[in-house]
Formats: sequence, structure tokens, C-alpha cells
Amino acid sequence: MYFEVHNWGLNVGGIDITAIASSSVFLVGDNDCMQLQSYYDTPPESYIVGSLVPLSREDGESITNVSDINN
Amino acid sequence: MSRTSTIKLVRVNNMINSCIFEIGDATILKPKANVIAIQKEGGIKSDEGYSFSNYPLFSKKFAPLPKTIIQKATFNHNNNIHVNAIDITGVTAASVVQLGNVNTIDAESRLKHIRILQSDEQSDEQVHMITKKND
Repeated sequence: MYFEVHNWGLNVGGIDITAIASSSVFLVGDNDCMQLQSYYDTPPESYIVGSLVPLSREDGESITNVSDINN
Repeated sequence: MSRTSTIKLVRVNNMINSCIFEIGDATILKPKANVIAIQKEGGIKSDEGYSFSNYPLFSKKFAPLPKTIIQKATFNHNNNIHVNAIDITGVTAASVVQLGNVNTIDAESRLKHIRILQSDEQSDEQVHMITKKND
């Protein structure tokens, strides 16, 4: 592969960033090589977001047959 | 000829956990961060007993990412990068903000999350009491 880059004028008005986290990079300039690694070990509890109440259909709406889903 | 970055205004609110904010050029940037994040129901009193050596995540050696060499040619017709304003709220955990050129960036962060619920703690204490009785 041959990669050819032509840099013409670059003008940016404004940049607004909330967060740069866990081996991330924000670069205004040129770069050759970037290797960014991030390892996580997170328990499953932290993924449970939202209502703990199981949601169910109203009476008469229940699916009794798998083929009903397609209809 | 390398390009020059011209930035009128930068505002960074918060930087923690081995991150880098660099103005100017660099050859190599190598930020590394090890973090144990404990969330305990009812609050935490001390960090005693939580050592990096207790968790294999921090000592494990992972296979390095392969280095790909790409044949490339860059033509800078305009040597300037202009940015009016940059506003960053937070930079954390082995991250980099740079205004300028850099050859290589090699960042690594390892994060261990621990959740301690009050119900788990009680059951832990019960186990301790049972084992003490057996002793």
C-alpha cells in the first residue's frame, strides 16, 4: 500500500470536549505511530442500568408461539 | 517540513491519573496508569488491603500490538494548523492532549473496578464467624 497525503490549509473554529479518558489522545499536529491500550476488569453489577422492575406485556398480548413474533 | 499548530485559546478544567498536556513537539510519549476503583455502599474509610499485587490484571503481560509500517508520503502545501478555541472538561488515565507534533505515543491504562455491597459484607462476616467457631 502506498499512502499519499496532501495537507492544504486547516482552520478550525472551536473544539469542545467533555472527557478524554483511558489511554485516549487529542492531538493538534502530526504523528507517526500511536499505540493505545486499555484493560478493564469490571463486575457485571456495574452494567445494570435502569429499571429493576421486569417489563411484561399486558394480558392477551403474550406471545405463545415463536412464529407470532414474525407476524 | 513539519507543520506548526497555532491555537488561540485552550481551557482544560481537570487533569488526573498520569495524563499529559504538552505544548510543543515531542519524540515519544508513554503515559501509563494503574487504577483500582472501589465503590463501597456506605462509603470507604481507607485503601488498606487493596494492593496492585493482589490483582493479576496489573502484572499480566499482554502481547504487544503489531507495528504496521505503511509506505507513505506527506506533502504540506500549507504549514499551519489553526484552531481558534479548545475547551476540555476532563483528561484522565494515561491520556494525552498535545498541541504540536509527536513521533510515537505508547499509552497503557489498567482499571480494576470493585463493587462492595452492604449485603455482601454481612455475608462475609457470617462466613468469618463460622470459620472462627470451627477453629
